[in-house]
Amino acid sequence: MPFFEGLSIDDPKVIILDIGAAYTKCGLAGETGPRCIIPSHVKNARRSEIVNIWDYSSVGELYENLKDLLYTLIFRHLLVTPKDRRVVVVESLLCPSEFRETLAKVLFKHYEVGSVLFAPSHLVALLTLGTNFGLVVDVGFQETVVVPVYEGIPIMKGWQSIPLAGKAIQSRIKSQLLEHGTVSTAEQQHQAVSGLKETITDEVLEDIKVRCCFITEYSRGQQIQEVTMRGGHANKLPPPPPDTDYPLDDGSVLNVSGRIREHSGEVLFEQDNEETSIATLLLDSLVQCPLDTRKPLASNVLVMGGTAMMPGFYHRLQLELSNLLKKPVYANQLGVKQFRFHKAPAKENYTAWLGGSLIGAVETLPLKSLSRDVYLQRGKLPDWCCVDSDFLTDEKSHKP
Amino acid sequence: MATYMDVNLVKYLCSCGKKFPICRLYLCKHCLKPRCIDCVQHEVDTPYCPNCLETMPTGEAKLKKNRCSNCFDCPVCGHTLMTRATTHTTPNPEDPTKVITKKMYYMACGFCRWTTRDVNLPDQSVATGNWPELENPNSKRISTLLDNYRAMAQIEKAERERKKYVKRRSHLYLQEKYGLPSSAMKRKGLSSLASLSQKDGDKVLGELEPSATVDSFEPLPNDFFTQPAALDKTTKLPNRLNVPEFQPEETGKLHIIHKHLLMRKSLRCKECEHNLIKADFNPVSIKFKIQLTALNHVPELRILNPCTFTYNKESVVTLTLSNPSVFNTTVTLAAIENETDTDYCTGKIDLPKKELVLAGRDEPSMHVYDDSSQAHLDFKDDPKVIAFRKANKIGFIVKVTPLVKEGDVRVCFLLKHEFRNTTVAALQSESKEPEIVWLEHKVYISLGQI
Amino acid sequence: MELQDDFYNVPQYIETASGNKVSRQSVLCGSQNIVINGKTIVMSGCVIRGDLANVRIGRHCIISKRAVIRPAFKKFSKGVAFFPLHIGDHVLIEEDSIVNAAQVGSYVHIGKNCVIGRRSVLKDCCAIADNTILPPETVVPPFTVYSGSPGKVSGDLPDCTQDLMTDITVSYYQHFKPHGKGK
Repeated sequence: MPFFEGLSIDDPKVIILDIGAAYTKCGLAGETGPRCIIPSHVKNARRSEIVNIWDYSSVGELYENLKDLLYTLIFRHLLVTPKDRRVVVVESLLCPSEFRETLAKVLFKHYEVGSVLFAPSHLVALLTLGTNFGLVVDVGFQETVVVPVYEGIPIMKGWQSIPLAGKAIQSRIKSQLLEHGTVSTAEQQHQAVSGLKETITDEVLEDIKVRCCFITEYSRGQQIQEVTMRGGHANKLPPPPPDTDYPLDDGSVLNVSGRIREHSGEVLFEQDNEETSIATLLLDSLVQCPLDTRKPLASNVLVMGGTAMMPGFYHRLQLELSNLLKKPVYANQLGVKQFRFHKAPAKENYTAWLGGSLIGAVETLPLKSLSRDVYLQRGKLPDWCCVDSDFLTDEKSHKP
Repeated sequence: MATYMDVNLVKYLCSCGKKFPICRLYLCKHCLKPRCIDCVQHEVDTPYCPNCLETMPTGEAKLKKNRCSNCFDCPVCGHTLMTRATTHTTPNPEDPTKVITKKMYYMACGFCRWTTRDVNLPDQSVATGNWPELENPNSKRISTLLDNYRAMAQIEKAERERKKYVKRRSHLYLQEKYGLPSSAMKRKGLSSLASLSQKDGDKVLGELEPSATVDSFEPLPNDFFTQPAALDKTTKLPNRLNVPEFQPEETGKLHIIHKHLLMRKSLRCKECEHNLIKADFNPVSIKFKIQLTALNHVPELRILNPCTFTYNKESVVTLTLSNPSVFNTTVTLAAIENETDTDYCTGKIDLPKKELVLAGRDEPSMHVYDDSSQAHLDFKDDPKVIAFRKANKIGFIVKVTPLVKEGDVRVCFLLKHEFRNTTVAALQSESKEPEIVWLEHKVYISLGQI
Repeated sequence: MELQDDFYNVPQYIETASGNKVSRQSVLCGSQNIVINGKTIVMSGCVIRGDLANVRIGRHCIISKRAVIRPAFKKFSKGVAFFPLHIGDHVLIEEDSIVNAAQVGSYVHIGKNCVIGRRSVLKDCCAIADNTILPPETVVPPFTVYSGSPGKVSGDLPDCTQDLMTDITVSYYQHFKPHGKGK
């Protein structure tokens, strides 16, 4: 009962929320894992279809979608009363302001939470390691973002991002399937997939990515790129792994060739015209950092994000980095010889959430959060990128 | 169910400005205003298991992470697992000729036929309560980190308290002198989090080891290149996400999941903080301790028959009004002055000018399919206005002229009705008569298409 | 909108003393074991298996065309026993559904084409969406909506469900009128 919660020995636990591009992680502070990881979708009552939260055409629609998503999270998964609760929202530093503002509005005005702290995901992820400096790489769904953090402060000059992540892999699978894939049904064997586009939904693509695909080895990867990107002869391709028969819902069988299984992951490491890949992202970020920080940062790399959980990812990333370091463009600029990686005490897809959980469990949280009264008075959120005179003058008056 | 009666045709305006059908509105007896699902506070009442329908006290639910201790879900399809019994025969250690028969239990899913034997969980000798629990291998490390940060936070808190009593004037002066950058640094959001991880050189921090780093990883096992992907042995992503802390990749590592609890909600008016809906404690019961739905207090307006319209010609439409209260209620219909939502109305409506009187709701005779009733004789009904009268319902005639050539014909007007406020009056006034208050509602009706 | 009149062919329906309207084209096996409390409509094509066990249906129920009401069984070591099936008042069962439940409460709405698994228990004031498959032994708590296959909680019912269901079933019964002589 809500009346007795305040009188109990433990304070009501803080809600920790991480709304990602593909999945939302939600739970209570101080716990070792989120209570639920659900897809960031809502059922749009008007169009009565399932739509991604980030797919919005107007701020009003985003408000309604966030309201529905938070309703499901709070009343179906967490089973808590939101009024006067503290909330920590773990967000990417590159989160659009519109999204932040709308989320704050939904939380404060509709659910009447007590206070909200917007915590940058790269920063809190380091809390899970027990250090306060590191190069944090978040390989998510929409994009990969690298942010170096030193002495607990993100080095904003060094942030890098590239839209090569889970979504890119799925697009690569889709295009390859449409080109050479075949579907076998009871009537007809080996029909071309291009005629049956509707059977390749996003769920099917995600499932193929998770269960059939993997990130191949460095030497094989180089050979593949030689053929696909620089137009080498098809003979030079290494022998592909065996094909897999993927059963579809309507009874037909999709033939996922070994090529698709191996080559889809290459999209993360192919250096296209601009010579950028996930590996170069790390190095470019280091180049932007101050000289004295480069070595400690390179010895403390933290990789997080769901796409990093694909088999073979770490091994490939490490080899790519060591080979790229030999290139003149990096060898001359960086004094770094080796990269060392951390392993967070969590699965990569909720590492940022765990960081949020640790900061949410700490008593000084109320001092850092934005309380409801202040928000309603001010009407806006403080943000790292806006130098607003309002916030500065208030800071001075807040000093005891 | 809603499709049978198409409840979205007649909408009432809620105090927040949105239109809802009457079955989705609540009436706050203290503010006397309609409330919708968005302008009420939802509160969690009591959690209960959807399978065993046992309520769990809130404290216990918090400990068990809102999971039932006795009911389990199948990790593959999510349906509730059933406990099945088998008999095991083992030779008696004392007497080799006799055998001991024991009843052993295992769990099976009725939908996808998954059993605990598929993941090599040993059968239990007790029907409930003995199934092994998985433990997160990282929990120790996380609790060390947590303790450490809590200690640091205590130190920081003590520092802040100390600073309150120390003169800081010189500090401020320096800040003002050097202006923007230092104060920008102290802005909330970034540096405040940094203070959590600052090395003050304190003894406490020495106890926390930063996590170890590696510089090389194991390459992919050869199976990836020589074998096709074993789809039946690999778990699907939704199955993995059901157990976020473990996320097993092989079906052989799936474990039974405790069933998640559901909860009944109670609703509270945001303005006056009074309860609007409070359900009974027992989750099986459908009774309410407090039930202030609009359906029980506001007369419900409905369209009797579907009607056809022609542009600019008057059509006769019959609407019905049913009275939810036990007393006779008078209803007046009026046009809306200063209409704010001018886009909505596409037709002109000619409302009856006189008051309409609705008979009280008489529960025992509600379902009696009887045309003749004493109550009808007491009301002298104008046959041009009142089409019929049955128990607590009347049908009245209005004339509608569509003002558009195509599309929906929509009209809106004010519905004023008497409301007997039984709660507040009972507390305040000494007289036994409940106070009569007139309430107004804006009604928006979509009559049909041209 | 109020429900419109639904006409039926008079010779096709039997009207009992307590007001039940049962179609002659429905199959009622073991009718001595079937108790229908009053003002219920059983439409054509329905199958009610009273021969397996007692079936008790409450007042103002509507059992639509081609629905199958079949008591569930339980396997014992010494054979099979059938559970009596109790359906509460004001229940609406739509077309083509198969109800194998052990108990259906009052004010329940079962959608079209559903399969209610054997020995399921549906408590009062719940709803089952169209095309749902409820696996055996599912318990459906009050004020929930189950959908999908296997059926899982997909939504909540409003608090006025009891009044709404009462209204629909009573109105439906009142509007279920005879056609006149023949068609």
